[in-house]
Amino acid sequence: MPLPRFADDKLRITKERVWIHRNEVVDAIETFNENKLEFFSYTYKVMIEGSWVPVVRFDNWEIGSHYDKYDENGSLVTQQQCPKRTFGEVARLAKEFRRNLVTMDISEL
Amino acid sequence: MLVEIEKKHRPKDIQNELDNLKSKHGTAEKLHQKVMRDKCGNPSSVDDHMIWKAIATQNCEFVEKITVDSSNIFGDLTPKRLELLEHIRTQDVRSIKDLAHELERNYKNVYDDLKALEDWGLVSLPRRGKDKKPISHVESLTVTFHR
Repeated sequence: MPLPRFADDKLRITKERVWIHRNEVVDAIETFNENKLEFFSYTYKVMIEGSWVPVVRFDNWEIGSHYDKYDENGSLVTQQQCPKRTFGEVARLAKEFRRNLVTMDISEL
Repeated sequence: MLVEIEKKHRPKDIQNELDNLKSKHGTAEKLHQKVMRDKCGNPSSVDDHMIWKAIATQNCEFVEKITVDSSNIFGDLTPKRLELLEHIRTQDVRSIKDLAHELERNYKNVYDDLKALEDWGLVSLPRRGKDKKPISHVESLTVTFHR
C-alpha cells in the first residue's frame, strides 16, 4: 500500500491506518528524510472500553528494529530485536493471526 | 472490497495537528522528556513525538491514509455524514455548534454523526477551549474491487 512519493521533498511523514476488524487496526507512522526511511512504527491495536490499546508493535525507536508486546492494559511485557518488517507485512500478520500474535514467537514468522 | 481514504495535509491542517499535540502534551520538550522516561512503554507518545518533530520542520510533507478492507464502512457513510466531511474539509469550522449552525442541522444529530465518523478515524474532535473543533482526515475516498 505505497503512499505517493514527492520528487523533491526533504522531510516527509506518513500516517496510515488499516482496519483489520471493526475494533482492530494497524497504525503506521513513517518519517522520511531525502526519501530515506528514518523512523517507522507499525502498531496492531484493539479497542478496549473506548480506547485503542497496543497489542504488538514493530518500530526502530531508540534500539533499532525490534518488536514490543503489550498486555491487555497496554503495559509493555516483551521487547525483542528483529529484522525490519514492512507495513504491508505487519498488516498481513495482524489480519492472519490477530490477537494470537501476542502469544506467538513473532521472530519466527 | 478495499476502501482507501487519503489526505495530504495543507499548512492549515499541519497547524491543527500542532495545536492538537500542544493541547495533548503541553510542549515539545515535555513530550520529549516523557518519551525518554517511558520509552516503548508509551508507544502513542513516541508516535506523537516523532510526528511533532517532523511537522515542526519547515516544508515537511504530511500524508495520511486510512484503508478499510470491508464494505462495513458504507453503513456509516450516509449522505449527511459525507456532507459533513466535505464541509469540514472545505471550511474552517471552529466548533460543532458552528458546524450545526452552518448546515442548519440539529446539534445532537451533527454530534452523533461526527462521533460515528470519528470512530472510523475520518474526523478528529480535539478540544479548543470550551469547544471541540471538528477536523477532517479525508481528502479523497477510493473504492477498489478485488478480482
